[in-house]
Amino acid sequence: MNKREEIELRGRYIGFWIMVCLMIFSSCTRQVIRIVREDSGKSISGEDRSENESMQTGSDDKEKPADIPHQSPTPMQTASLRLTDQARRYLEKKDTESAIRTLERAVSLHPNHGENYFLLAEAWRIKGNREQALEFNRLAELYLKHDRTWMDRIELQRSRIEQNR
Amino acid sequence: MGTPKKKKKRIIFFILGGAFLFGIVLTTLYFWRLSSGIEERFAGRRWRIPSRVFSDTTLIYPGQKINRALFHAKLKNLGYRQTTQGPKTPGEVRIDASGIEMFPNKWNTGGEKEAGGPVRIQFNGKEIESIIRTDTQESIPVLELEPEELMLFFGDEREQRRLISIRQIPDHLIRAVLAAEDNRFYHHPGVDPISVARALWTNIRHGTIRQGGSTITQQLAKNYFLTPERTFSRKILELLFAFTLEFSYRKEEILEIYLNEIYFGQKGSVSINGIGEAADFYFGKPAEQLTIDESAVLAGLIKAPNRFSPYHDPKLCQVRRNQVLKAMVKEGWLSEDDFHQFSSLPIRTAGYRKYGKRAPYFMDFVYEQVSILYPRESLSSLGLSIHTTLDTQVQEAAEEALTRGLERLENRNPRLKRASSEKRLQGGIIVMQPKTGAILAMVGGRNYAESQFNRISHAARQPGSTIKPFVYVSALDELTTTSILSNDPKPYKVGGKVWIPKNYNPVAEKEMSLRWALAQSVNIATVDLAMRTGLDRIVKTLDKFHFSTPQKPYPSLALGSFEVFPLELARAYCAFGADGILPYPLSLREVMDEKGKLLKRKYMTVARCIPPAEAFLVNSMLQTAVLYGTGRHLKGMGITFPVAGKTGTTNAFRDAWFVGYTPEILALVWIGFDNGESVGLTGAEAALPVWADLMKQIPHHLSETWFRMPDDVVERDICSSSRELAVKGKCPSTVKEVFITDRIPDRFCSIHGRNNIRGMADEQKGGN
Repeated sequence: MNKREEIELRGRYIGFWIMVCLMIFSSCTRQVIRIVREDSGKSISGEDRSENESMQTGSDDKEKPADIPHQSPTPMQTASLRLTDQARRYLEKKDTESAIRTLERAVSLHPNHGENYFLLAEAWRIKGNREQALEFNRLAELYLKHDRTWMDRIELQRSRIEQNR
Repeated sequence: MGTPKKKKKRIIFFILGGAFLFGIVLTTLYFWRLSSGIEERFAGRRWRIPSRVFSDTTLIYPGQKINRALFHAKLKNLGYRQTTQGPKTPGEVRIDASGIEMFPNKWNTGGEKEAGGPVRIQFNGKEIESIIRTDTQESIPVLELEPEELMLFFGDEREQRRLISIRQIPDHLIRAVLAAEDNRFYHHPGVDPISVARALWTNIRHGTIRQGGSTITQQLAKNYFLTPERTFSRKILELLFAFTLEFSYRKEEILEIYLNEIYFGQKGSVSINGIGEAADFYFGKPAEQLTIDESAVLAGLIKAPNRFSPYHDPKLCQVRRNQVLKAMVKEGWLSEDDFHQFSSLPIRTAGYRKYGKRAPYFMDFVYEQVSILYPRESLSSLGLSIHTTLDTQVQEAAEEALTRGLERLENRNPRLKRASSEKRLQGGIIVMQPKTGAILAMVGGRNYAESQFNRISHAARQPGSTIKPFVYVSALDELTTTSILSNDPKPYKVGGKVWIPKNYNPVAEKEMSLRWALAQSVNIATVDLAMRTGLDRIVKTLDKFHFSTPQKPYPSLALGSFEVFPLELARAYCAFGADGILPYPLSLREVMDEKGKLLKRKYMTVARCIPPAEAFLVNSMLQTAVLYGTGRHLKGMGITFPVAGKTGTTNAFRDAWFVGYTPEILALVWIGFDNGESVGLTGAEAALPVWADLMKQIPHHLSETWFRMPDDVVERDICSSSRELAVKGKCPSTVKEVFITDRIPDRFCSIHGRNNIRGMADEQKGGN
């Protein structure tokens, strides 16, 4: 082995170890971020923030424009809303099968509740079915058109579904 | 060298020795063959387990209106056992005047196990007032009850069995079985010399075979490998098999196979096999939840299942149970105190549930889809769980409504009666959820035993006026619900012949609005609309709604002269009820293997069909049809909630239809003769009462709300006389009308608004 080959080999060797160190460093950083996020209950990365925000609906009622007449939900709708809450929890745990199953039942009780379709679109996006995800995303838009906050989420979801292509 | 005598002795010794060795080799080979035969049999699937078809789960929640009779029937079908005290274990229920206390069963759907706790469902009249966990006093917002078993896909043997692992079987059940059948099971090598000697002595004394003295291993060998005759040669073979089994398998394995194999009685033509199935059949619960007294009942059944059956002779069953309990005491497995406690208990069974194919037409429909995924052989052997969308309460209500409706028609119109069952008046009902496409009920005919032909999925019939909404929706991108149609009879040329449409009843008006023409189902005006819209466009619309039968661009198309399948018609109407979204009809939800692992799931699938605003206008027009048009009799039948609906009657009164829907539920009713004879009645007279009867039975699917108005639909005041935009303060009588925002009429009342003030007009046009 001549000098040149020896230097090249050593260079590759050092390069390899730098790569390994970088990988360990990056995975440690991700782990730390995850722990911090779990502790504070807040998301840090931009992508995750939008995903988490899109799942939160507890405060949505406050954000709805005042011109939407407030109607107290029927018992059927109330039951459906509880199923929607349950489905949201499944989705947060990435249990898409249980989420879809629960959402389909929620839809049958409250067909006009747009969030069900938004969450169905989310479940199908996670499952990687672009076509179904888009179809439900459009349905969500149909029912939540009047709500700017929701529309922002729906548009963001659509662009993410399309990125999955 | 020995003497010849010695030589002879040596030869005899060699021959005997050789014969002995040969015998050993032969015996070894035989045992080896038996052992490999047993292993071969036990290595693969030990039993052919029929696949089970289940209904959907049932959601109940506070505020829900409920048909208590149907709900009680559901609990009975699910095998809930009535108790006089509060329910303490899963599967128990106590029903009183004001509510139901129940301990819901655990169930599994798609890998998720629902754990139950005791709950009280409190009623307030027909409504559920509250659902409270009685142990924690926690309020339950939604309770999901397990699905009902509807059918089994049997093979030739018609055996019903549900497999259970030895780990799931409670100790007291094992002890009860051992006490009843083989108390020395853990101490003998497959054959119990003491009991064989006892049996032999009895048999010799009587000269016949009276007593078997069989161990559990022998019984297993007999059931699994041998024919049932009682001969000595078969007994020897049984002993050999028993030895080999004990040699090859552990005691627990033998016991597990035995408990899954053994015969426990008869459910009609179907035999109940295995402790898992027996626990369900007799006590409506999984084997792991059996109490000591129930375990003793099942253990006692093994000896003579049909003789000791609690369904056949409860007193004898109790005597036998107490014998088993006594045997347990003798073995030291039960205390005297416990014996006295359990032996005094009555036997509380789940109630005999006869095996029968429920919702048979729906089952055939499901089978058509399942058989694409799994061949018949797999369905009758793999023990799959097939979950469907069926709501048994809706199905039962639909079956009863159709039977009642057809009998009522025949009684009022004796000319409809036929002597031959093949020629009887027929009918069909399908109930769907418009948004999800889930089929809640399907009745394909009057009596499945008489005719298995499914008229909902397979009969192509003329839809008559039920096709009209599709004609009207084709025109809605240019016209409004107030646009005027001509009701003047006109001749149309079809294939060189002249055709003049006629109205069923004389309609005096020469002109009428779209809304009124559809509500009154006026034929002449509808054909006028179809010709103005363009027949090709209507055909295209029908294609969009996925009708598979050919629809040709003839004027009579607008009056439903081209056949459709009722299922496809119902599905197409779903799009109106689902804001223009066409769902895929869903009947199969999921398929799971025998261990509960999800194999296949069918999802809610939808596709955009028409704009939501147009769907809303159709719903609005069809609500007028129900309030003031051809469906106006619904109100008198007790239907007071908002409904959109359309009647249909075909040429010579061959078919009577009614399709009605709310945002949550849609039902189609068809009535007619298979051979196309005239019923002589309209859809409103024959089909509509059946629809009303059905809806009144299923309040749990009705929210009594109306469709949400889309953002691009607005409401305007219309002058009742001119059907044009009303001028405030001028038009004496106005009505509300709905318009798509970019199609609001720009003409103001030409009768009262001649001197109209522009400001007023602008106010109407500009919107509120």
